[in-house]
Amino acid sequence: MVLLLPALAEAHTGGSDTGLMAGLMHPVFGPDHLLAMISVGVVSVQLGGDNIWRIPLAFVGAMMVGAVLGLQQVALPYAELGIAASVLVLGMGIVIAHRGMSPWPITAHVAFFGALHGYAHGAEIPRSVSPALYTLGFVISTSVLHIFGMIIGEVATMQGWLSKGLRFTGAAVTASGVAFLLQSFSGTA
Amino acid sequence: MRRNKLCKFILSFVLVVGAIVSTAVDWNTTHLFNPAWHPHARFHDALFLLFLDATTLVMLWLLWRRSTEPAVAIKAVALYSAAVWTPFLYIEALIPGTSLLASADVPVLRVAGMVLAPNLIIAIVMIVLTIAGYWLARDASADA
Repeated sequence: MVLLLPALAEAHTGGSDTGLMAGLMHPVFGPDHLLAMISVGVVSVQLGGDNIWRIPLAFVGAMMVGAVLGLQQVALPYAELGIAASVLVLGMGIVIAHRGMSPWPITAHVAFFGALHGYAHGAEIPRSVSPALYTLGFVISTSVLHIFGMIIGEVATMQGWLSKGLRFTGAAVTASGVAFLLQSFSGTA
Repeated sequence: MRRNKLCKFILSFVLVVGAIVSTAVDWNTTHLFNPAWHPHARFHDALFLLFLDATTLVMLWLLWRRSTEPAVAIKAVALYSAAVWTPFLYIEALIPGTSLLASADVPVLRVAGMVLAPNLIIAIVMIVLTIAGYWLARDASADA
């Protein structure tokens, strides 16, 4: 289904709601975007307290800044490598994050990676759509993915084995990040 | 308590995003200002949007106001959200001549023979989030 969504997003070229729909679909069809954004929600719940809001807001805020750079077609070399690295780092975040640890290193990484994801969204805006509606679309879509991550993180706190399972899932996300990174390296080499 | 707040946050997100997306998608020439639509059809679209936006504000107030019965507000908001989004699943079947698609050229997603219009996908996501938010709140109440 995820693989079919680009066609839905790209082909929706009629009417002024096209920007919104394209923006809504954009973060969903890239598995790297998808994993990173769900991971942000999971990590925020694992850190607990105000981090539940602070970390997703840091991602979304930085993403909007990055999107402006992307929409302006500002050159940002190695953005794709950074996005691949974000999956790796956020997967590791799921493995290690817990209440009591300082949230700031993760928050800083999340903001940095959010800017890169936003840049990619902005740079890949389909022609003839409204930039404002497109931005609104991917901000909403990203927030939905964060919330799905929060729900996953919260459900994992209900049982010990779920919590352990989540750590293993984090390791799997990290492995996916390594694969994305190798793919990006081979693409840039 | 934290889980209750997370639930209220999720339900608030569903309310606010639902109102914003519905208004943004309809407030243009594909719907509300579509010259091909009968003026009375456009009137009803405007009526729906303004009603949705107003009731969204009422639901947000209900959800976040100080109350000795916060579970009632959560249940009311979850039911309201279900009332807004579940009709997307059955209106076409219930009322002949209606369509999820604003025009024939709107691309749809086909999965296992099922046609999924973009607005149907959004409705399903909203319903899933509503159920998750309500379920988390119920679980929090059971723990308390």
